[in-house]
Amino acid sequence: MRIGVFVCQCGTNIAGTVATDKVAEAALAMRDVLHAETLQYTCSDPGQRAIIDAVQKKGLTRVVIAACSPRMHETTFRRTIGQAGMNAYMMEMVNIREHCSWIHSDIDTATDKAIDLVQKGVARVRRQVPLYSTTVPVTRRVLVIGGGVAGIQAALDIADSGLPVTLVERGPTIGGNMARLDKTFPTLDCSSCILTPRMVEAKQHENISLMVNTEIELVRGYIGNFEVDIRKKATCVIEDKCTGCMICQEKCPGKAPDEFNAGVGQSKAISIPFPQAVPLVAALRKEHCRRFIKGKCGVCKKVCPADAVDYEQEDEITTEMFGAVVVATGYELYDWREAYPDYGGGQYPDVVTSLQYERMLSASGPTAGHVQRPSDGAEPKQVVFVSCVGSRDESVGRPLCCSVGCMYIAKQAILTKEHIPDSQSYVFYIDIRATGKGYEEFTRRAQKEFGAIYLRGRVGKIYPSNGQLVVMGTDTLSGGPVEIEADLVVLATGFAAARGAGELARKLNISYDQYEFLSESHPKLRPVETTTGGIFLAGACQAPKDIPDSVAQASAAAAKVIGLLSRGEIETSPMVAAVDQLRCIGCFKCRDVCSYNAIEALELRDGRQVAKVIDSLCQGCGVCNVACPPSVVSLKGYTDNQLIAETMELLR
Amino acid sequence: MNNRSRKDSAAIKAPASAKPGRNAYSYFPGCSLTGSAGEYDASFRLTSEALGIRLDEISDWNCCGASPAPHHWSGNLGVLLPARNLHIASGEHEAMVAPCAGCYNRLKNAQHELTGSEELREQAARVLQEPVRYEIEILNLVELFAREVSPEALAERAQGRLAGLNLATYYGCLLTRPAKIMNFDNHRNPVSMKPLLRATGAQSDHFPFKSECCGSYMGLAKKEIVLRASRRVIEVAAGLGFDAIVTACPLCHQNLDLRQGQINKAFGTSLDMPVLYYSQVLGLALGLGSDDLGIDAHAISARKLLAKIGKGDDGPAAATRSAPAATRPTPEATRSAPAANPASRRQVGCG
Amino acid sequence: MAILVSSTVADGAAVVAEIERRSGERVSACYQCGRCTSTCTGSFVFDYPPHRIMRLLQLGQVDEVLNSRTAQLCFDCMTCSTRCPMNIDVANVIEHAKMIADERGIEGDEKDVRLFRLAFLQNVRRHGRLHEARLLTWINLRSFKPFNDLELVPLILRKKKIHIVPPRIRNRRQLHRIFREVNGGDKS
Repeated sequence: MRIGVFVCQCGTNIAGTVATDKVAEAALAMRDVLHAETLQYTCSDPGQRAIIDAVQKKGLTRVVIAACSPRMHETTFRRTIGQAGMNAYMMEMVNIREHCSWIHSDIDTATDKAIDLVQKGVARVRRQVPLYSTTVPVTRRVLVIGGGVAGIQAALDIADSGLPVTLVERGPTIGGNMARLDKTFPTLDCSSCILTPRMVEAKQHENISLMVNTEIELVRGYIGNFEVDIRKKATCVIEDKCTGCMICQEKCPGKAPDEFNAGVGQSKAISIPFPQAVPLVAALRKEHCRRFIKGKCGVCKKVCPADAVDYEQEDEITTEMFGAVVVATGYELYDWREAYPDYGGGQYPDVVTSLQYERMLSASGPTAGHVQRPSDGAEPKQVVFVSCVGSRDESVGRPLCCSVGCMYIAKQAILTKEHIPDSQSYVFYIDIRATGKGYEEFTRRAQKEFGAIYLRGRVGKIYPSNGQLVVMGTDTLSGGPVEIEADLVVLATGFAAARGAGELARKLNISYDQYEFLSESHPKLRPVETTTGGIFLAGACQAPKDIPDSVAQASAAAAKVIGLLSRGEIETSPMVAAVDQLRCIGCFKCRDVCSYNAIEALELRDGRQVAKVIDSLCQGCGVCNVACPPSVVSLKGYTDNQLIAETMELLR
Repeated sequence: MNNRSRKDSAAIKAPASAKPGRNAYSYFPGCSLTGSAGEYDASFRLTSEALGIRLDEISDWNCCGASPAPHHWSGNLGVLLPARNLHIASGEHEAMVAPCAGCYNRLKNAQHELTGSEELREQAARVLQEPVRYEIEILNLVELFAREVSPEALAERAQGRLAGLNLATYYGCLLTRPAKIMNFDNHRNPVSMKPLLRATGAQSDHFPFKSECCGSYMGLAKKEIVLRASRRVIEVAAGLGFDAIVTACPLCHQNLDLRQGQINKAFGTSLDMPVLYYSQVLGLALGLGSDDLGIDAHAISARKLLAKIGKGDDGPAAATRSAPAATRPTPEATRSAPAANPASRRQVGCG
Repeated sequence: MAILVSSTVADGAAVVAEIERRSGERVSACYQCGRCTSTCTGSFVFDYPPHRIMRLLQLGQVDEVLNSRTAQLCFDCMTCSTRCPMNIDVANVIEHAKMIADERGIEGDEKDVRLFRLAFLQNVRRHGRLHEARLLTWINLRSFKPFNDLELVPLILRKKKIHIVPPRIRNRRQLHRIFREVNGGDKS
């Protein structure tokens, strides 16, 4: 056995607290260690070459690298020794940075600990055997969850590469929140005008299969081979027959909340959300439908010229295989009402959210683009915008910044002036966050060209008086409290994760944070991957962001997906469990505890049933190893003997 | 009328369901209730009696310390003065009630400080010449009534007597702040008075100024603070069409009621908003006499309000009067605005 | 005139640290959103509204704070504390500034407030409970405003809200002990 030990200095990251030469010296004194040296930056080219040199010149058969966390460079060094001609797994990486130099300050203690850790690593690598990874074929089909701008973009990019995509959307139309916007900053492009071509393309693309009113029921499997149960909900409308004429909606007697219009105005129980919906198909909401509540009615079925209404329609569940999943479930506006009773808590009709205001501004909205006070329909002249409602506010458990509030307020202030030339807008802000391209200039325009008055301060209270709303705020710039008698108040409410995001995340086995925004694998370097291989993120579901960022992230996720599936197969880790079939007693406790369904029964020639690990499914967690009573399951790379050797070394 | 009447009122008998002895509390009236806010004390005693609550005034209590002087100049005075009261009360009952929001606030603060400081406990022990007992449960008036009578039980007895009134609940500052120590209701949106008020048959719409300050003790020191602050509270209430402001603090009452005339004079307004104590309102709902409850001791007359509920301003209403049980629909049910454009109907909510 | 911040921050650090230690609040947590000021009940008579007091402390300008009218007049309604998005008890910070100002003997111009506090303290010390009639007359005389609130007197008399006979507690010894225990409590 010929072991080589390489101790990294990592500049001063390690060497600052650990005497690396002492560690190398001590390593050389260990049994079977023929070579030990310190390297300034092991991961660099010269560092790696030094390893290859030593391996080749001294005929090393095993390598221990004492450096940073394996999460950083384990893959790097495996490749290095592979290049040197060794089996890539005949090495052990010992963490003397995150586990040692970064958490201690006394050099002597830290060095002693580093030596102990190296000793442990040497003990383990002594018992290592060569391992060989395998490949597993992948399903070359992709699932995109969420039909907003990010989901559409990802679907189009992936479909353009030739891969078939299933785009699933839980609402009756794709387009998401972007379809509800009137104009977009900073160009004031009409939102629908730039989005609908994409929406139509998504529907018509030969590689995209669009499913609306659809949710994900269950997800099984693993990267490259996900098995997904998809539920297409019953809408009582036969999609293929519906022509989108909207007569059912016109004649329906049952009122229902208008979700697309954020509650401004009312809709019907059977409806199409907006005239440019894709697909242009009606959907019935049973919870608001008289027929389903009271048992009386049937008007829509009667008047439908295409005979597309079917009250007996039921949910359909299908199971499909996908190689990768892109999650683009987007956001909703934070519901401010309970946390902000000082703004009326939703009781004042003339205090609206930014999205409700956006619908009022929209020419295709419930007020045909006429900005009106909800209370009396009059045109407001004094409009107040309040920033950061539900953002930057620890007292309501929301310290985050919504990223887009400053921009969309400026936009709405500009649009207000365009709609109502003799209006005066006031914007209460704390800071202005306008970091994108052209954003700062845009916010300046709101003040310079469109006369919006910006007051720096939060609003403490809004109350009704004489048909108006008194807004009590502060202008820290002039130094004191200010009050405004407003006709209409628009609250810039923050972003919340889409309803049910956490539940979906649990189905997919990915992490999420306290706001149910889905967690990326690394905040800097892996913004579109998740902790589960094969599942990617795009858009506001990951964190509040604007449209260009959502689109960029969607294309990034698409690139990852295309890369993943491009070769038709993926490599699996060899550090999987293995059963000693000769000694297995067939109790199947291992199968009982396996979370990945990676253990099956195998019948031997003598009729005995033993356990067998499915390599491609096994994730190497080792629970079967622990559960096995006669200890016949072992984890390659982490065998019992290796672990015991490590422990014995430490106890010495 | 005699503010300090403690005599049993023959017409009012505690219901059979009340268990005397179980519903007994140490009663800390404080300097205001035994002084210029005598009607608060009287109405509290009367209403408690009608609900079967026994109140035992704490023997030889002293000023609670809730004034500007003690806890600013000599920090410990603000703890030692109330500590003595806590100590006496702890020896008498398990729970005490302080209807004055100022006293309630000071007592709870003192309890909090005593819990956290051995030094203070030692000081208190030196004063009392024995280890201080301070862990008694401290309740305010709203809490006490909420605990002792359910809205259903009150509704049954009230028989919708106060139907037709819209009452603005006014909590002021000291009942709920600082939130961490008072631990009572929601400091940004207090609602604890509502269930019982609604049970009386009255309506109690959202009052946006319900926890804004009335000006506190500045009446004698810098009057304009009180006049301005109280003016806004009353004006907003008047503007929203309330019939009266209901309060649970004698200082708030004094600022809003006694000084309403001064407000009118200073600002040229013509406010005429009756201010009633929570105990008075509940007492009216139970059929007690408005004079017995001390409503005639207020500066602003409640005559119009009493007329609205069919009571003259003398004598108890007929106990057999059955008012319609139906009340005006609650705000949640009828939030539609008048004369609104159908296309821009009141929003249900966002997104 | 520019504020020499490098100087004020250093000079004021001790007092700011003292305020922070005694109140348990952190002035650096404040991001100057101003919501405290927006509904501050007394801001119209203060020289510095609450958010500016926080700013002065952040920049170490402690003298301005200790000598401010705000410190003298703030009556602890805690509306600012309730509104703060960073959960800072602003009223508590101001109160501790007030206490330090008192300890240093900074009197300020608000004589009436000082008088009121003094009168109240004396009154309680004498009787163990507040004797309102005495308080009113005392304050009116000492502030040379004998006709202050005179219009309320008929009302008060009619409604029998005034008691001429002062209250007295029995255990006066404990009362005396309380005032003795409190150092500097006797400012009369």
